[in-house]
Amino acid sequence: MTKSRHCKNLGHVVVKNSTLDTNLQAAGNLFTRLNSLSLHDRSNNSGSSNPQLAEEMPIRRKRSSPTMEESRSKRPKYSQARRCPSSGSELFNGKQCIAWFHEYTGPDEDTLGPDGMEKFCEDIGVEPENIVMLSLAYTLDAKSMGFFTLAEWLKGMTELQCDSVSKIRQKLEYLRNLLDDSVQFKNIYRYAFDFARDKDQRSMDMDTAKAMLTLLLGRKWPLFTSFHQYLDQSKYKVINKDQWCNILEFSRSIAPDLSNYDEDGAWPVLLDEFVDWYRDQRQMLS
Amino acid sequence: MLLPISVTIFALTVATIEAAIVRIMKSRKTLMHNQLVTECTEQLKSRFLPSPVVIKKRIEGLIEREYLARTPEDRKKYTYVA
Repeated sequence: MTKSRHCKNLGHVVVKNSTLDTNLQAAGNLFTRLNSLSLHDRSNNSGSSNPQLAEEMPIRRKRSSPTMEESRSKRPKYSQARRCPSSGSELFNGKQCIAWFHEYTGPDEDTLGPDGMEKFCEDIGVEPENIVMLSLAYTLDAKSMGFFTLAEWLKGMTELQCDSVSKIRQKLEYLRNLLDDSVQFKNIYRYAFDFARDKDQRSMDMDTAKAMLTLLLGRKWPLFTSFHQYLDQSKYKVINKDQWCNILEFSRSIAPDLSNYDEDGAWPVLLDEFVDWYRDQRQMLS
Repeated sequence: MLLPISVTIFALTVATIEAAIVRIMKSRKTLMHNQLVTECTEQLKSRFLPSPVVIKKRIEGLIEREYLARTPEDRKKYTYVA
């Protein structure tokens, strides 16, 4: 009870917390590497090395907390919570993270599927079709929509420093805010193509494309409704990656009245045809 | 568009345009969209006259098959993919 009250007061601190955690994890990484003089596994801090790190982390944190208190005199409550013995669950635990994963899968399975995903969404209070789930999948670098492998789960949840439902719920705002950053949104948008397409095909089928575009651009792009209508009546059955990426560029750079649309703009033919269609529609109505 | 209706000839046309595009891009490495269309038209003019739209469609096909790519810094500029 006390802890949750703390968490409520420190809502805005959670984001800083993750930066601190990242720094501490980086320090932990360096510490481990110096100790073992190991040269492998430089590129990522995910996978098998993590549970070890998680076990190392408690020692690091206890040592550095006095220093933290000095520099963070603005947040006495925060350091109090950290020193509180009952909040041992504040520290990220790799084993707990894996055990949490298995709440959604069979005991020996290494893939979380549709049933598990449904339960996971219920637990965190997010609908499966909510765009936050895409942001989460992106952070986990999940390959296929509707599935998380254990490796993806561990990598992503470690990055988010979450090993429980309550922790991930605190990160939902961070995940939502990712979408407000224009660079991150572009990354997530591009990622969404490979994530949502049928892995047997290079392109995405039109129904999936329309659904994903609605999710991603439905609220942002004034021309989206028209574009959706255009797709409905077009002969296109699939969308390829180049078209996908250019749709975002088009939505960002071309004015809603198409006044700055340039025919020599090297836009995919799909978009040229949309412009023709849209202008015809406008003409018919006027 | 001055293309004949026959499917075989159409396929040949597609192949010819694509070959021209790839040849140009291989030698130039990077090229703006307009320049590519112009050079492609130049190279083929003794045989037939493809419209810019047709050339653009072929460019898109080649992007999809990863012969070409748009440059990250300028989406109007293409680069040859080795």
